[in-house]
Amino acid sequence: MSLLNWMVWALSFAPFNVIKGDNAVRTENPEQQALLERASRAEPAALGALYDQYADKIFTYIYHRVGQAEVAEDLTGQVFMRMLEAIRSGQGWRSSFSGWLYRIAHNLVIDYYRRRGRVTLVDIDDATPLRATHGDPVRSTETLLDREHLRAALFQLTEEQAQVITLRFMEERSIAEVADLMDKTEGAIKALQYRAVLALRRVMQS
Amino acid sequence: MTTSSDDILAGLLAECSDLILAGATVRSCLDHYPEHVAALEPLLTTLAEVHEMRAVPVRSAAAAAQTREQFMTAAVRLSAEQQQAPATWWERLAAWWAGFVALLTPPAGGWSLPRGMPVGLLATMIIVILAGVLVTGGVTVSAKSLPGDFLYPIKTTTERVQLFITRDPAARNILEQKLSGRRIQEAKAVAEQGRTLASLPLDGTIEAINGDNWTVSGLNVTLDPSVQILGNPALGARVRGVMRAPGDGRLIVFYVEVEAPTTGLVSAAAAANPTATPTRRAPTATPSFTPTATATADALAADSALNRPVQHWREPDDWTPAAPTATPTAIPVRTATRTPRPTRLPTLTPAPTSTLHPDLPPARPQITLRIEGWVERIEGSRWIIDGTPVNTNGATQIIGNPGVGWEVSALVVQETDGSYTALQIAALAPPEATPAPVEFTDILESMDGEWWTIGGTRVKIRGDTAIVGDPQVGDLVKMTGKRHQSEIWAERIERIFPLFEFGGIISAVSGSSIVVDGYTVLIDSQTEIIGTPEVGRVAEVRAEKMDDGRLIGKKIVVGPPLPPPTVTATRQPTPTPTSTPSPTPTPTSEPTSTATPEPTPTPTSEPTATVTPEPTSTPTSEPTATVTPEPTSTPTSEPTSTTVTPEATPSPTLEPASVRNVGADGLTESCAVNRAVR
Repeated sequence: MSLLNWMVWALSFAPFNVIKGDNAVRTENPEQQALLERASRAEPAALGALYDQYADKIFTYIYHRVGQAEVAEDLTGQVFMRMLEAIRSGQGWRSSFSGWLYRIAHNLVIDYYRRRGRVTLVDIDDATPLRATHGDPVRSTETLLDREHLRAALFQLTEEQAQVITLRFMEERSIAEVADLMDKTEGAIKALQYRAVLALRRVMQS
Repeated sequence: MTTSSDDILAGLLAECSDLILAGATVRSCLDHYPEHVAALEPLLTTLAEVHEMRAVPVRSAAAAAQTREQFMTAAVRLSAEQQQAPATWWERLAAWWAGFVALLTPPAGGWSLPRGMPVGLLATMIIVILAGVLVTGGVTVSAKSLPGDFLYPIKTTTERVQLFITRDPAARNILEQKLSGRRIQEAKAVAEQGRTLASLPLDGTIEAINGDNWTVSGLNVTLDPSVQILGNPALGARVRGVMRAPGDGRLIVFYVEVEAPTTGLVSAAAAANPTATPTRRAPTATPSFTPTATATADALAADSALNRPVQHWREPDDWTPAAPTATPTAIPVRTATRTPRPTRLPTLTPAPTSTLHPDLPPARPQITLRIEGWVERIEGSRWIIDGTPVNTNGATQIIGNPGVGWEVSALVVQETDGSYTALQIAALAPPEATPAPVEFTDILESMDGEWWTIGGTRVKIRGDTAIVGDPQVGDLVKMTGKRHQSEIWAERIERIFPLFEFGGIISAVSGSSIVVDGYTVLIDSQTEIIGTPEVGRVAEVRAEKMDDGRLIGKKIVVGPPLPPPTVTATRQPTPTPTSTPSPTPTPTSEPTSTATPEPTPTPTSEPTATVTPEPTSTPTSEPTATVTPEPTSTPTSEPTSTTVTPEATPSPTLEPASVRNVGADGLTESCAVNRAVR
């Protein structure tokens, strides 16, 4: 292997490691570990089980970011297709599977908005009806408008801030879970949450 | 603000946010930290507002099923790919590079520097991009490579990446056709150059069949005598397979899968009747046979036009789906797929109606198919795979030493008597050490004795299965159970009702119900109540709405008590009838509060008895005039104006007295014993 090839080979790993972080900790239990092992070998049954475990969660996460059920469904499918692509190319998860999967979802949401030219408010007629508001049309409309306002506000935050707001307060995940999903320490999540709420308040007031 | 105070506030916010997520109010959290109220209050208010907007619409069952089906199809294909073609180290390296280079290719909208990206990271990426440019040259050069060339894997991997990043269906379709055409041209070049190759992909449309010589998208290929054909070869059908080039200019096909014809010579009838593919909701790998729609008459016409002898397969006379789940059912939530691709999902493709060609002997009378599933038992040479008997013989290839309880993939031949003989049985997964939990929510499609079908998946109802909510066919149900080898044993099947969320003032409370914002919400053992429900407090309710309009509480979060109202004995009760569909009970309380409850309806309820008529006349924030339902109350007892306690919350103004059995399951067995009299 020539020197140039060696340099390219070595350097190509650098950004991945920087992005990934070194505090990778396997958090899954032994049964889940076994399932993940089988999935990494592309066993259909294991892949199906993983899909069933995470599909609704990923859908919920994406829905909270994009606000349209159809888009969320489409992106959910893409998340799992990327999972298969990663397995195919041998570049699957190396630490927390759920965190890895959420990062794919997060990146797809970013790509989605990047393609659409940042955030676009969903027309109130196109917004997905919610199950709340017990039939009061005025309240329903207000809720939808609030949601769109919130979604627009989230896009004024950093990606990490928006992610922590979504995971903590819209998905009701614990600090520890968010830390696992975002591959950070709990202390870092608390600090990030604080900054995120501060920023969100500023944005929503402005 | 100093850093240390930020740290303190971050910690307090973390604690308070946990409390708010658990149902506490902002105010109650602030009460714990009075010295930080000024800083905390705006933050907590903001997060509480965000938290209020967390509702998510119910995911479309049809869309979810379709997404899952697409995923499983891709998963099975990936599994097959990985088993068939283990990559060499340099192929993996080339693939890795190609994928990496593709990732470095700027998207249509251009790159934008992520906020907060370290300068060092940026510098590193620039170096890598420069290196990638060098490699990109390799990608360009590889474009002209042929199978067997060193750079060929880079070419195919680049194509895969192209396919992957092409999301638009139309563009993807065009790209797929383009790549398919490229494979054909490559195969032609390989044959013309007399190259020797052990494996070449075949992907194209059958244009002619002449014995063992086929023309596929302009490429002349020869079937190996031992070829395994999956599906029904017909003109116009798409085929995928593997062939080899012996170096003499020929291309020998040794594996081929045929899809149903969809274009070209295919009849419109065939295209208009897409095959409904039974969907496997859970990855049970139950054999599901998919009769492929083909149009023999049209194919015949095409055959005649080509004036070539065409092979037609003989349809087995006694073909029946062997597994109970094999019957394609018309499920409202399922989408009929146009043409199921031959994958490792078991598909059986019976031949078209051979009665139209009695004079044409079947050149290849055998029908091959795959069966995936759990080995239920092995009886000598006979294996039972998901209920399907499969015979083995000395020629059967057993891969991976599977046994009872293993998940296997069996390549079988259907004999003329309808039985199956295995050519190969490959182990997929060992037995589950413990029964794997299964849980899904889908439409209840059929109830056939102890076997119910939910979303295409059969589950077994056992003596200890809890059936909740009296589910019927067509209802949405949630199934939780365990997989026991090939069977799913249901532990609980619960009918799922639409969820409603609302909030308001609690106007009545009993042990079995609570009235919030005028709506009576029944409480059962599954209801999660956070806080202390008391009349006058604010509550947020998440409830299921039954068919009969009853609301069954799932989660009730009670806020802090409001400032106590000023109550005087002379205060008139001012019941405010809420808008209800049919407010039959008429509020009759008069300002004088001289109602004299009649003792005639003997109070039979416990002190917790509550009047819970649906169209209740419910006092809201006003002090509620109540009658303490003492069984010994005398007819002359005055209604006492007081705050209502959960133990005594009958509505005072209902006429006539009624006894309502609100819930058949005993949720509310309450009696109205009060009658207000003018």
